[in-house]
Formats: sequence, C-alpha cells, structure tokens
Amino acid sequence: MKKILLTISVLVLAAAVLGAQSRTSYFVRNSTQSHYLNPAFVPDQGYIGVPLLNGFDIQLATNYGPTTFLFPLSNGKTGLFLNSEVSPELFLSGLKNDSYTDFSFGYNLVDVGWFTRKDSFWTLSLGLDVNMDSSIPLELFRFLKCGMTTDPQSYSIQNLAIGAQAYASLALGYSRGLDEFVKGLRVGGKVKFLASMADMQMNVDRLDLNLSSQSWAVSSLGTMRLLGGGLSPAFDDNGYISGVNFDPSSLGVGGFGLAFDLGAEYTISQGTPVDGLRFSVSVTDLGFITYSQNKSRIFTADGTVRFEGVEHLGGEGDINSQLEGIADELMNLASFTEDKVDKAQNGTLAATLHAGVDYSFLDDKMNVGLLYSARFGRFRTENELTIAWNYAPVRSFDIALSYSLLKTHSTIGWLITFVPKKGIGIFLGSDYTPLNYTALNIEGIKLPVPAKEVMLDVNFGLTISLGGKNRRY
Amino acid sequence: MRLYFRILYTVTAVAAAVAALCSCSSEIALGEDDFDAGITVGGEAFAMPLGSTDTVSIGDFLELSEGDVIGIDENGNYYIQFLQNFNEKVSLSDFTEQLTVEGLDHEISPVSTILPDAGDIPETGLGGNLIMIDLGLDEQFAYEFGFEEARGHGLVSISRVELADTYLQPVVELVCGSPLPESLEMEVQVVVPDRYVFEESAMLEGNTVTFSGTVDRSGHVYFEPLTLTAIEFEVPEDGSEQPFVFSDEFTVRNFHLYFDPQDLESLSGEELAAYMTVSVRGGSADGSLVPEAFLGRVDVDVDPVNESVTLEGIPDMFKAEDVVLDFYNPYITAELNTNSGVPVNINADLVPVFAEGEGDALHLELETPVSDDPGESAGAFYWISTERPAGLESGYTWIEADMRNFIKRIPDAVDIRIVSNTDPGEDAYIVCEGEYSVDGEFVFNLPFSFGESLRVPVRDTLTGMPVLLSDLVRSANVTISGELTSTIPLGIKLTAYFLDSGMRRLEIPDVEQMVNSAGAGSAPAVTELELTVPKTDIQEDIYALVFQFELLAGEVPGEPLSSDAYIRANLSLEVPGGITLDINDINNESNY
Repeated sequence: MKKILLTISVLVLAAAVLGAQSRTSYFVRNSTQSHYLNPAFVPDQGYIGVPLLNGFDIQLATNYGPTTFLFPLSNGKTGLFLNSEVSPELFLSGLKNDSYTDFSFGYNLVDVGWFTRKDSFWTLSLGLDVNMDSSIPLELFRFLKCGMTTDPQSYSIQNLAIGAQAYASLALGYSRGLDEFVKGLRVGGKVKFLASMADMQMNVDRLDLNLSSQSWAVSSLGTMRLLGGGLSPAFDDNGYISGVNFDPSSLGVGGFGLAFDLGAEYTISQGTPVDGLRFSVSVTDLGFITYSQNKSRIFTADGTVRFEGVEHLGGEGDINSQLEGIADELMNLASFTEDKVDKAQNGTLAATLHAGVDYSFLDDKMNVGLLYSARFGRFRTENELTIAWNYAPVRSFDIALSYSLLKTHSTIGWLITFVPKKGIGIFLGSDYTPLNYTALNIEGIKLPVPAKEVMLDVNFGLTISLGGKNRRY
Repeated sequence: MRLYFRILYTVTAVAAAVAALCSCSSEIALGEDDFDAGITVGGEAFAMPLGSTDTVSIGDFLELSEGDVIGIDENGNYYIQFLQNFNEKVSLSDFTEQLTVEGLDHEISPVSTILPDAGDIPETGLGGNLIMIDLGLDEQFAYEFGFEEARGHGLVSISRVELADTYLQPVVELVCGSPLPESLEMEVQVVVPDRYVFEESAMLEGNTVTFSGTVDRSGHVYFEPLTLTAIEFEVPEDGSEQPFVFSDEFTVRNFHLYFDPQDLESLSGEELAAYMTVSVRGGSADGSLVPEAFLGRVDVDVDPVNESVTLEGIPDMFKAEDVVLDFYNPYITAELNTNSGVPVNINADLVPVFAEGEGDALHLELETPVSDDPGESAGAFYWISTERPAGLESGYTWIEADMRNFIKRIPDAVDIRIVSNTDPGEDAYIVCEGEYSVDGEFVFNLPFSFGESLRVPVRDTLTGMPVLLSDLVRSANVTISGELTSTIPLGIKLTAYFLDSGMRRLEIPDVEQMVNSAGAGSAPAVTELELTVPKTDIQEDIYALVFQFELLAGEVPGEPLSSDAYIRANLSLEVPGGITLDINDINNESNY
C-alpha cells in the first residue's frame, strides 16, 4: 500500500511539474512552447492550450543534493553533515562556493497562438508566477560545520541571499518573418503587463563573525525589502526582525509592471552547404515592477554588535532565563531594523538571454544545436550551455535530447513532442535529468533522487492544434 | 503502421540511451531506525563568553546585614563591635545612722543667791543703770559620743561631720519668791571644744559663746541658739587607727543677772534660784545629731555586677573551633560616669564564653572619677589595648591589656564581672543621704582578619539549569574558564558540584580550583580559571549548580579585611570537541 501511495505521489508530482519553458524545446522546430524562450520562434500551426492542463510550471533546482548533507555512518545509519563522524573536509568538498535553491511555480490560465496573414504569428497568454530562490555561501556551511577550531576564530560570510516573488502576467506576442527584407530572418516580441502581489528580497552582503572565548562579535551589512502585500515582518521585543509572516489580510495587487521579450532568428538558405544553419538570439523578461511607497518596507542591517556575555551572571533570576537571554541577544546580533521609505520602489525581473545556433539536415528531419543561456537573476547570473539533438521522423513527431553544461553536471534533457496539424498535441520532457542518483530508503521503500543536485523539471502540456498554414511545409 | 514503428523505435532507443546513462550510486536510509539524529556543533575549540558575575564582596561571604555585630569602619575595614552597660549603686546611707549620735542635754547644777540691796551693787555700765549679779557658776562637763559602729560599716577615718539643724542653746529657769521684774536680763557663757564649728555669729568669740536674754515674768529666758555646723576630728597622721570615741569638754561660766536698781529694791533679800540646761541638739525629733555629710575615708563594697553580652548576628561559621580569626588591633573603650564623691575602684573581669567553656579572662582595674557634687556626674574614659595607640584620643586614659590573648576567636558571649569598692586611701566627701551610682559602658572593638587556620565555606546554588547542560555533560568535557579577580587577602577554594531536581548530589566528580589571595594592600590577584566537568553519563538531569567558596588563610595572614574586597569572574564556556546534541531534543524546544 505504501508503495502504491508513493508511486502515485511521484506521478502526481511529475504531472504537476509542468513546464513550458524547456530549453530542450528551443531547437524543436514545431514546438508550441519555444516562443516563451524566443518570441521570434513560431510553431508550424496555431494552437490553443487545453483548459486547466494548459500549463503548470514547477521547477526546483539546487546545486546540492541529499548526499551533500546526508552521509552513511559507521553504525550503518545515515547521519547529517553535522555528525561528528563526517569530517569537515568530506562535507565541504561536496559544496559549491554558493549553494543555491531555485524554486518556481507557474500556472498559465490562457495560452493561445495563431497565424494571421502570411507568416505573422500572434500569442496571448495569462499566467501566474511564483519564484523563490536563495544563495547560501560556502562560508556559512563552513561555520556551521567547523565552528571554532581555534580561539579566536573568524568567518566572513558574503552574499547570502533569499528572495521570493509572485506576480501575474498578461503577455501579447507577435512574430513575423522578414524574408522580404532578409531571407531567412524572423523577429518577434512580447509585451507583458505585470501585476505583482509580493516581492521579498534579503541580501546579506557581508556577515563577519569573530568568535572567541572573550567575545562574539558580528558585523553585518545587508538589506531586506518587503514589497507588495501578503508578507509582514515579525518583530521581537527589541524591535528587531524575528521573521517574516504570511499575512492574508494584505493580499492583493501590490505593484504593477511592464516587461518585454525580444527575439530574432536567421536561417541560412542561400543554396550553400550550410543552408539550414540557424542563428537565434533572444532576451526575455526585460522589465520592472513598481511598488507604491505605502506598499514598500525596507530594512537594513549595518553595524557591529559585540557580545561579551551577561552582566551579573548568576545574580537575580533563573539561570535558564539568563541563558535564554543570551540566545536572544545572539539572535539579535545580525537582525534587521526598519528604515523609512520615502519613495516608490522598483522590483526587477530575472531577464534571460538565449543565443543559439543549430543546423538541420536530413531534409530537415534532424538538427543539432548549441544553446547558450544566461539568466540574470537577482542574486546571481546562471549560465548554461546546452547541446541538443532533435529528430523528427515525421512532421508531427519530434524527439529531442540535450546535454547541459556549466550550471549543472551530468545532466541530460529530453523531450518528446507530438503536434498534429489538427487535433490534440502533447509534449513531455525534462531539461534536467540527473544521471547520478541515490536511493532514499524510507521504511523499506526506495526512492531514486538525484545524488548531488536536485533538478526536478518535467515539461508537460496539452495543446489543440488549429491547423492553418505551415510555414515549413 | 510504418509511422508507428518509427516513433516506437525512436522512443525506445532514446529511453535505452537515457537509462544507460543513469546510475544509482548509493542508498540513503532514512527510516526511523536508520537515521542517526546526533549532531556535533561548535567546533573543536568551541568557546563562548558567558559574562561576568556580580561583584561578590567579603560582606556577601560574611552575610552581613544592618545592625549586625560585624560592621565596617570608615576605612572599610571589618570589625566586630559589641558593648555592655552596667550600673552600680554606691550605697552610703548606712553612714547616716552610724554617724548619728545623741544630742547633748546637760543640766547644770542649780545655783541660788539672796538678792542684795541695790545699793550694794555697783552699776555695770552696760547701758542704762543696770546692776549685775554674778551667780558664781563655773562648771565643766563632758559630751561623749562615738562612731564605733560606723567602723564596722567601712568607716576608716573621719575628719569632719557636717550637721544639719543642730544648735547649741542653754535653757535657764529662774525661781524667785516674788515676781521678777521685766527689766531682768541674763547672760551666760559656754566654752566649747575647738573641734566644734559654729555658724559665724556675734555670740561667738573664740571658743566662747555668750548667750544673753531677757527674763520673762515666769522666770524663763530665751537665748538665741547658735548653729553648730560641723564637728571636726583629728586623723592620726601616723596612719594609726583613728579612735572613734570622743569626749568633748564644755564649760559654763559667767552666769550673770542684770537688774534695774529700782526693780531690785522690791526683791532685795529674796532668794533667787537658777536652773540651767545646756543643749546641743539636732533637728531630729529626739534631738540626735544627724550627719548631713562627712569627710573621711570609707571602705565600702559596692554591689557586684554580673552581666553577659551575647554576640548575636555573627555567622556560625565564624564560631567554629577551627576558625581562628586574627584580631589585629582589638581594643576596648570604657566609659565611667559617677556622681559619687567617693572614689571607687572597679575590678572587672571580662570573660569570653564559648560553647565548650570559658576562655581566658581579661582583668581590668579601673578607678572612677570623683564628683564634687552629687547632683553632677564626672566622667572618665579608658582605652584598653595591647599597645598604646599612636593617636590616642584626648580624654582617654590608656590601659595596657593583653587583648590578643583575650580574644582569639569569636565567643558566644562575653561575661562582665565587676567587683568594686570604695578607695579607703582617699578622703571623700560623702553626703549621707546622697544617691551614688557608677554607670559604665564597655565597648569592644575588634577589627579582624583571618588567621592561618581559617576555613569558611559559603555556598551559592544556581537552580534551573537548562537540560542542554545535562546533554553537554553527557556528551563532552565541559570547561568553564575565564579569569577570577580577587582583592580579598585570603585564599579561596572554589568547588563546583551538581544536584538533581531532588537536590541530591549527582555522580559528576567535583571540580575544584584554588583562587589566589590578593597581595599586600589588596592588590588584585588574577587567577586563570579552568573548571573542567568531565564527560559523565549521568542518569538524572542537572537541576542545580553549586559553587562553594571556601575562604582560606591568605599568603599573609593577618591582613585586614576590607568591605571593598571582592571577587569577580569573567567566565566563558568551552566545550572542546564541540557540542553533541540530538536534533530530536532540539525540536522539543521546551528542553532548551
């Protein structure tokens, strides 16, 4: 029974992890989703997303995995990285300089694309996006694992960041071939009207810890912004931020914004041996969201706090209370305090650059491509290099394989697309399919999970092809 | 169909390729029994500052409070001070009775004469033309009295007795067959002993007192009495015992009658008899001579004083037999006040009393001052110490005494036993009805320090230890380190041990450390503190941590203790190897 439940859970998760922005689909010529990556791209025919199954998009990406923090122990059990049997060298060697966690959730209410006149393709989509990401520097884990190896001991933790964002977008896209000007050239663009609910961003630029038996000193430099509604800070008795709470009463539209996607492709078709070689470039989510002054709260942490113990230790009061006081004081060492906001605040989007080149052959039934993408996130820029291979034995069917570099290691992507000229089409695939798994044995049930990176990304969608003119055929 | 197979073939090939690339390299067991929740945090050299303790002054050790026997002087030095008052009545009222003697009523032998004719008697020339008739009286008699009984009551010698309402007065009655004329006057002389002191009067000339008066028709004569103020006595200068039986000679002579010659005519030939009594009488009902005061020497025992002052408010730890305090400059001040004109010798024994018996007594001999007026007090101040103080306060008389031997440790009480007597070698003016007393106060001032055998344990129990501490002790050696600064000129032995919730001692070994004593002048001494609690698999959680401070003799015994002396610790917690915890316990926040 347990196995059945777990299996169902995995399938549900897989079904829920629906995505429309698969890099692997970038070079799939008949993809109904590639215009999300490059607005110049168009499918072979118009389509309408199937209502309700039109698009869920959940992505979870980390550059660490279970084996980063869980280790087999000599007693046959599994222990945390903080277990004394796990050496600091072993633990830290499994970490990157920054351990990031990206989680995104997207839900498309409307997704439709259609051709008008010759080679003009329009898209309209309405969706909701929730993004959460964090970046934790290696030094923080070094501090947690190693603690004080000497007295005194210093740590400098830099660029610790946590962010979350939720907004709705209404996008109208247009793509047009410009063969009359340059044969093989096509451009496209989208305009997105954004309505944001909340945007939280915390950056700790620097957190210096100087620990000794005489004093613990913390120097912090950081900022935190709470924009929009739905989130409210929690303060302790001393006026320090003790956390961020979800506040349903303040839910609503917190800010408005505008964003653009721009793209172009150029396919060589000059009767040369390299005919079919296509170059493409795009930039997406180029925009901003503005939050009014009264919807903005800013907090800063900038200063040094030194803790030298409790005065009058063992005097009045219970020792437990005094120690709790110590803990509270330590927790406040690096806390944020609120600043006055005197103007509206702008939130940024994570713009993404795609630059690709692919070459089709075998009568356009097979192509290979190389895609470089750079996502300019709020905390870091993610670079990715993807090698893709596509094969379309028939017009309506396409299968693609990809191999991604830079951002991850040993990750392949795959995509199967079936888009008939008319009728219901389907696509299923994943950009990140880790090759190195470990088995999580939970009460006898073994679940394969990526060993060193958690990359959960499955693209799935149902579309209804509208027929019409196929530009390639 | 061809399309179908082409797709199937392609999908199968891709799936096989992907499956071939994937691998499952390990297995992570996360079942309930497969997961080890132990974690170790903090690092190999984990240390954190705990803070600084309150300044613990020596007073905290001594648990002093307002009004205690132990006090702090203006220089901040500790001392024990207690006092005892006493009052002695000097009863001299017995002497009033013992020195009271019967008055004198001596009847002179009657004398008579046949009144002559006036022409046979020449005029006297005393005024007018009075004529005198000498009755020819010349008689001596003795007045005997004594104070022998007073000797038995302590009278050593007496040189003067002052009398109140005491008079010398003759009483005369003339008897004649015919009425006596109004002009008849009379005069008689009484020669008194030299020792008798009379009030100054015209009647008195040398030792002779001349009484004169007018005879009334009944033959009585009223003489103005002469006030006898005192009787003086000779005290042998050779020191021999003074006789207290006295016989004083009085002489009555020159008994004269003065007549107007014309009145005498009618009486001529009549027999006139004179009856006279010479009296020396006091103011009492029976005429006894009652002394008002006297000057002399007495040897009178004063009622003994037995007082005991209990020393309360001193911590019991100071009274233990093995606690030897160094009273580095003890002294006693004594204040005596008296209205007595008699010098009183006070012999006081100050006896320390312990549970096991009495200690060595301190014997003091003090002399009271003398007051000239019983209505006013005279005071004397004594400073009793082993050595004369450099700056002895004015008005004080220093008395050397072995104070250090007297007060070696704090007694439960001090008995004060006083036996006093008047000084028989000094003359004293004693008012017989006077109320004499001697008020005294002994103030014991005992600045102290601790001697070589000192051991004073003081415990401070810190309750409400977090469960975390128990887990720490179970998982690793825990070290409380830091610095302990002491200006107490004593050694301190610091011991820490642990109790469970039932206040029972846990099996964790005691941890001990010696704390250096402060140097001369209370220069701060810093001791590196390192109390290591060994890893112990205790069954019960730690509820309380007990710090026991034992004050021990310092390197320089005898250093005065000052209220400013303190100890203060800056502490840090060290857990070499880090803190091993169970995350399941951490999740249970109530434990931490």
